Amino acid sequence: MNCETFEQQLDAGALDALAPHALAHATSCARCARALAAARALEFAFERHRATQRVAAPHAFVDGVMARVRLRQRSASNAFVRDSTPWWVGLAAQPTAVGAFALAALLAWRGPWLWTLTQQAFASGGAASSFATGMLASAPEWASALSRSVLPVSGADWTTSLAIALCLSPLALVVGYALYRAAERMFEAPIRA
Amino acid sequence: MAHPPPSADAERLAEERRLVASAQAGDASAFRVLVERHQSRAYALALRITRSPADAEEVAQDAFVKVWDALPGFRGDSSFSTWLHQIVARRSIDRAEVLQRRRRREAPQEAMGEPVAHVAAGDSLEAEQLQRLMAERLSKAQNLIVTLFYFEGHSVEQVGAVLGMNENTVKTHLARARAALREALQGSGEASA
Repeated sequence: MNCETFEQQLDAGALDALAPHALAHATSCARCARALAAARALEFAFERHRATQRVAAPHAFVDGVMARVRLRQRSASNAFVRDSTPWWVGLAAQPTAVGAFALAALLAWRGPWLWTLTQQAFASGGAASSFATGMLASAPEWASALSRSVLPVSGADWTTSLAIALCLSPLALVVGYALYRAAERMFEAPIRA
Repeated sequence: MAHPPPSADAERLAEERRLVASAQAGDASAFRVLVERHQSRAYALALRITRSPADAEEVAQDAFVKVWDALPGFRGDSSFSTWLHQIVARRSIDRAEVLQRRRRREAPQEAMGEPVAHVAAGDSLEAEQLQRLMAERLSKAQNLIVTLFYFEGHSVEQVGAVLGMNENTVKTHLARARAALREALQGSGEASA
């Protein structure tokens, strides 16, 4: 046993498990004896202060936490999702709401035109039951007309209009999302104690 | 130290899991029980790191609110207390750094405090002296690990889980911390002799 090995054993912290030959080394080496005494003093201090420093949380700590949690619940934008509603409702709510806002905006802006378009789709389908078929059949024409009508750019063909519409769609999504979050707060779940 | 029998431990863990599951579903009363159970240890940990009762209370409460927010994503990979201590420790370290900067700025002389030089290895270290020795001689990581290991009574494995370190890293930090504190104590003993 040399001093280095002895100190490594002290560093490992197992003072109670020091081998007899390690203790024998400490008795013959003044430096290691001091190191052992210091290590024991430290272990003793840690043990003593762990036992005496049991601190209790301040009075009303729990009430403070719960008050903040309630405040959080009120202001949390996802309180509605956190409630007992299934996860898929929360998942579907946002895109659905964004889509609804976008459709409402489109109706407000191009309502009569959309109505005409729908009538044309019915006419090309021949009957109400084949509405979907009619819509599908007129899809290219519908897309072209939509892009031209929604974003008419003078002198540009419909593909340019469509490209601009696609570029602006993220903006519409962001605005729709913001509107959704604002609406969501109005339907926040009641707070449970 | 008297440990509860293993069945009592298992029962306590099972009950804690039930409480966590209820809290995850949004049950604030279950969360309140969790706060009541863990408040003292969370506060004690924050107090040991920040060394300021007011800041410790603030940090510990913040940590519980953060836990409430993050509960839906808690998968139970570690125990609730390990997870909580992880959050308390991180927040306390951040706060302690802010406090340390502020103390240095406001009272650079006072921040140095009384030297620990008069503590000899044979003497018993007072709590304040031990804390100061740790603050002066240990790195932030070492200080935190010593706090968790010696004062909070965590095992090396638990300290690793709290701090996101592997066990060998924790052991290395502990060994270096012991060596640094021992050397400081030996040095002060030699100086006072």
